Amino acid sequence: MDRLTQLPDDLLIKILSFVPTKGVVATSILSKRWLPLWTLVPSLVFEDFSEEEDEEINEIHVRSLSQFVSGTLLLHKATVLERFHLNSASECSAWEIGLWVKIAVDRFVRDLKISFCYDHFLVNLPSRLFRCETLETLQLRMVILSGVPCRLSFPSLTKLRLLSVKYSDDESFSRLVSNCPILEDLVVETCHGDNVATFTVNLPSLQSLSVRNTVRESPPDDHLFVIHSQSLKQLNIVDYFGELKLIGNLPKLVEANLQSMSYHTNVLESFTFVRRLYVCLDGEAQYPRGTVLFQLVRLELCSCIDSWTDMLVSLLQHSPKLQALKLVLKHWVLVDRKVRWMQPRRVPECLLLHLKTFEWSDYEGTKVEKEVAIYILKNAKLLVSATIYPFSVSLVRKHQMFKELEIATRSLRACELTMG
Amino acid sequence: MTKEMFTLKSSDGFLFVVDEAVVHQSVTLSPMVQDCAGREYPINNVTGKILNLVVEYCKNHVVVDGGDSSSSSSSGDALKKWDDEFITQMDLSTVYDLIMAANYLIIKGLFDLACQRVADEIAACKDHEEIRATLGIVSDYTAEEEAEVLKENEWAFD
Repeated sequence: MDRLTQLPDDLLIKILSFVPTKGVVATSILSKRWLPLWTLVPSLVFEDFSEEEDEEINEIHVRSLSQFVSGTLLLHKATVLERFHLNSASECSAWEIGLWVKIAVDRFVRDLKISFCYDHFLVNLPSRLFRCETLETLQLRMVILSGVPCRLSFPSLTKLRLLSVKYSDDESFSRLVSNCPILEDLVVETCHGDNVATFTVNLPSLQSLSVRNTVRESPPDDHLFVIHSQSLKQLNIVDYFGELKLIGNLPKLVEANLQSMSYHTNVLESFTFVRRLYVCLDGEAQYPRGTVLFQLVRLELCSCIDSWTDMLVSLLQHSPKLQALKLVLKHWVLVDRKVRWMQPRRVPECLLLHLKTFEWSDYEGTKVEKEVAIYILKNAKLLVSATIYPFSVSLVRKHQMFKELEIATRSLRACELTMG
Repeated sequence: MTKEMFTLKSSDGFLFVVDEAVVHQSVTLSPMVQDCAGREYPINNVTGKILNLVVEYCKNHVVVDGGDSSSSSSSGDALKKWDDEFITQMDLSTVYDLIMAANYLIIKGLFDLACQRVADEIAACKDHEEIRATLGIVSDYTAEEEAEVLKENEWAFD
């Protein structure tokens, strides 16, 4: 029984707005009723599968992406185009893409995405895009921006993702970013040769910022991030080679994920109000003295650097209200690295008075790790949940590691030790 | 202070007692919080079977205030997993009913979830014939008409 066709037109169109466009066009042949529906779907999502090797995955064989997009836009009737996504359009020319974007802007587009996969491609974005009043989400990936106009404004833009974009200079980036008065969510990923040395983010409305800099550039081009956004609630930084300057405090910061291989610990000075923190810092990082994390409730620390135990002690000593602690190992370490455990002179306040949850992922059962685990388990008087995830290829070894810890802390623990 | 409870009545007479947090997830039902505490509120175009699923979804999506001790991303992942399992185990016929119910009750999350399920089925099909087979759509084209429509679509497909 054809129940789907019993749904009214507008519901069918809504369902089709979740389907990539080549699937939507295919529905035009289903039955007479379906013929005109695809032209009214306010969302166009184009993907290029011509690089797929496996024929089976390449279901509906689109003639050529360029022809398909042009044909679709010519026949498409919806007055409002809410979403226009162009993925992997490497075979399309820069001016063609510019033309399509012009059409999308004229049709009041809200969500625009231009994304390439393997290489950077030039796109000639029309100037009207940079004044688009309806645009709410913009994503550009591996795009070479030929130019960003001097006067631009994105009055409705709330989400901006600039992934591996190449600009003409520093100002292009800051012009692009600072003319978004209500921007809430910004993601920036750098790439080699992007022509920007300093990324300045000065946005009072910004609530969430993600920065990813895993590219080594030689000075003076090495990437510097200057962040000047006091309303940030969420900050994610993955930065292996650059530098970060946080101007001012971040009083609204709720969660911070800091994964950095450069000397960035002064960044923690701005985090005094943070509630949830994930940290993986450089080997030379030292905890900034006097920085108390008054509201820190949840801490996740990566144990990949040699001095991780010192960082752990510093963090525990400066997080008076910590309730949840999780230790993880997210990066490769040398088997015979020199780690040591120096028991703090005074038991950190949070262990005695607040810590409720303790988790250790990738526990390897080394001498130092055992010492740390025993110290925490024996001093966390209010612990409610303690879970160890032993890391080993052998199941027997896993149980062995767990058992050792379990027995060593049996009479000292405030709660059960569970194996994850 | 005890929570206010509301009674929803399906088209076929089944009663569901839910709290304010559930009711507020439906834009259509939200205003009834003012007037209908204690009385039965009839939902005339949703059957008991479907209303049961709607209530189950809403109960799982009640926003917990604060939630500091667990990280925001892990509880978001768990909810997404629940949503995936919830919608995947249903047969398509039930999903269509859910789409109509979520549309009438204006519950955006549930509506999008159900639409996405149908959309995924369409997107996974090789060609229009497979779409017809999967969705149970009956073609009203004659053989000639269909050949003509296919030819007209040559601009798009090989």
